[in-house]
Amino acid sequence: MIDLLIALVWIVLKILLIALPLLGAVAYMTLAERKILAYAHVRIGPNRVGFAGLLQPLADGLKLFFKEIIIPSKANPVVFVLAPIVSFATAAAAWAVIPFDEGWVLANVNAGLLYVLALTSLGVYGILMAGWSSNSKYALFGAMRSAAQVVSYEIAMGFALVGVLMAADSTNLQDIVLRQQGGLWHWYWLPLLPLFVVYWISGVAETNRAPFDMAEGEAEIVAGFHVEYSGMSFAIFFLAEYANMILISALASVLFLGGWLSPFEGIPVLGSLFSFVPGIIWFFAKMAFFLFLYVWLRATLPRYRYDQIMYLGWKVLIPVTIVWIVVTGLLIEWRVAPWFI
Amino acid sequence: MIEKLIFYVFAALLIGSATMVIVSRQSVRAAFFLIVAFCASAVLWMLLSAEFLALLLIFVYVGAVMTLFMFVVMMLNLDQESLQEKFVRYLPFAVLLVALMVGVLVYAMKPGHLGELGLAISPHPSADYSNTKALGLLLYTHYVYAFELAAVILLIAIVAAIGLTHREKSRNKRQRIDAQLAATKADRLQILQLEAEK
Amino acid sequence: MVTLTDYLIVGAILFGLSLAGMIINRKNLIIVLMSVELMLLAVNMNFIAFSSFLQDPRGQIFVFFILAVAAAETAIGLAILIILFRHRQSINVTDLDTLKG
Repeated sequence: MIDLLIALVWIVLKILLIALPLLGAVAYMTLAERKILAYAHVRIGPNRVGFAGLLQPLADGLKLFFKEIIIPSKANPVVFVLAPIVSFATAAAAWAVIPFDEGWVLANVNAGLLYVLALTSLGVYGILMAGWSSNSKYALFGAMRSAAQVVSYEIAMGFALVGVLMAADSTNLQDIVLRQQGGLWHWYWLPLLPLFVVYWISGVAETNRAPFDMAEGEAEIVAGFHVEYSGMSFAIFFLAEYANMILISALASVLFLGGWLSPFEGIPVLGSLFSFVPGIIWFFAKMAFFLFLYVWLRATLPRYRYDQIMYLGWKVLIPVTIVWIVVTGLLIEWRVAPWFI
Repeated sequence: MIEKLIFYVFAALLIGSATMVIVSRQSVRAAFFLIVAFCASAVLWMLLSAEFLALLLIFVYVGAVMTLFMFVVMMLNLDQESLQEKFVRYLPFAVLLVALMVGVLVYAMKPGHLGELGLAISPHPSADYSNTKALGLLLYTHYVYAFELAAVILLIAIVAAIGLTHREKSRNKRQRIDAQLAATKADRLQILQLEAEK
Repeated sequence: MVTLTDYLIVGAILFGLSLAGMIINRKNLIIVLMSVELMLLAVNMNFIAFSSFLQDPRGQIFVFFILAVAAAETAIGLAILIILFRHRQSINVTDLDTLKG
C-alpha cells in the first residue's frame, strides 16, 4: 500500500515537473510571439511591464483571471464549460510520451507515436463543443471550418508519421530518437525531407495557426469558435493553442531532428567541443527553432482562403506523402546509408 | 486491485454513456455520449493489452468517424420534437427484449460454462511484447488478401460518399468554351428596326 | 482479478443497449446509425477479450477489419443521410414512404 502511495506521489511530481514549465513556456511564448512580430513589423513590442516587458505575460494572465466568465443565456452551460477543459486536457496529456532526454520521459510506452496521434485527433472536440454550445452563428461556422480542416490535415500528418515509423521500425518515441544517432546528417529530416515539410505544414494547420487560422478568421467570422468566451475560459483556449504549438514543435524535433541528440555528433572537432552541452538543451533549442518558425510564418504569410486550404491538404500534401512513403520503402529495402543500415 | 478499480469505473462509464446515447433527445448529445463510450471502451481494451486497437479506436473512431457524425448532426439542424414523439411507445417492448437477451447471454457466460478459460486471470505480457508488431506480423502474412480487400472497401466508401454527396456549384462561373465557340451571330446580336422619330 | 466473464458481460449489456436503442429510436435515422456503431463496439469487445485471454492476436485482426468496414459503412450511411435530408428536409424513417426519389 505504501509502495503504491509513493509511486503515485512520484508520478504526480513528474507530471508537475512537465506541466508547470509547460505553462511557463506558454506564457513566455505569447511574449516572444509579440516581440518577434513587433520586430518583423519594425516596432518595439511590449516593453512597459517589468524590465523590457518581461512581466507582460503575468499582467495579461492577471487581467484575464479577474475578468468575469460570461455564459450566454441560450448556451448549453455544461458543454460550454467543458469545451476549454477538453481542449487543454488533450494538449497537455500528449506530453506524457515526449522524451526530453534519454530516459527522461513520463511514460515510455511502445505505442507512443500512436498515442500522440490519438490525442491530437481528440483536440478537435474542444473546438466543436465550443462552437456548438455557444449557440452562435459565428462560433458554429468557426467550429465547422476548423473541424473539417483538422480532420483533413490529420490524414497528411498521419501519413508523414507512417514514414517516420517505417524508417525507425518502432513507434516508441525514445527508440525513434536513438535510431537517428550520428549527427546532423543522420537525422530523419534529410531522407524524409518531403514528409518533414508536410508534417510541419499540417502541424501548423492542425493548431489553427496563421496562415491556416480560418477557424478564427477575425476579419470574417469575428473570432471563430471562441467568440462567446471571456476571462479565464478564453485564457484556457489560449493556453491549449499554445501548448499544442509547443507540442507540435517538440514532436517535429523528436521525429525529424533527433530530439535531444547533438547535431555535431561524430564531427571531429565540433563534436568534442560541444559534448558538454546536455541533451535537453539541444532539445529545447530545436523546439525554439520551430516555435520561431511558427511566428515567422504568421508575420510573413497572408491567410489562406478556405477552399485553398482544403485543396492544399487533399490534393497536394496527401499525394506527396503517399509517394514519399513508397520512396522510403525503397530506401529501406536498398539499405541506403547512413540512415537505413 | 488497481486493475479491478479501473475496469469497474470504465465499464460503468461505458454502460452509462451507452444508455445516454439511446435515451438522449438531442442527436448532438447522443453523439457526445457515444464519444465518451468509445473512449471508455478504449481504456478497457488497453486493460486487455490490445493497445494498438485501443489507440486505433480513438484515432479512427473518435478522431474521424465521430467528427463526421458531429458535422452531419450540427449541419442538418434536425427537428427534434417530431422525431421523439413515439419514444415511450416502444420502451416496454425494448426493455423486455433487452432484459431477456442480456439475461440469456449473462447466464451463458457464467465462469463455469467457459471451461478453464473462465478461471484464467487476465494475462500480462512482458514489457518488450509489442502488440503493434504482433498484429503487423499476422496482418501482412496470413491476412494480406483480407487486408487488401479492406483497403478496396475503404476506397469504394470514399468514392461512394463523394459521389453521393457531390453536387455542382449552383453559382459556378466556369468558362464554357464549347458554348462560346458554338455561339453564332444570331445568338448574340439582335437588330431592331426602330421607327424613325417624326 | 478481472475475469473473462466480466468483459463478456459488459459486451452483452452493450449489445442489448444498442438493440434497445434501435427499437426505441427507430424513427431517428441518425441515432439508429449510432446504435449500429455501439453494437459493433460490443462485438469488438468480445473479440478482444477472447483474443487477450486466449493469448492469440488473431481475434484482434478481426476487430481491425470490423473497424475498417464500420468506418466505410458510416461514411456511406451519413452520405445517404445527407442526400435524404436534402430531398426531404427530414430524416424521419416514417417520411420515407415513397419509392420515387
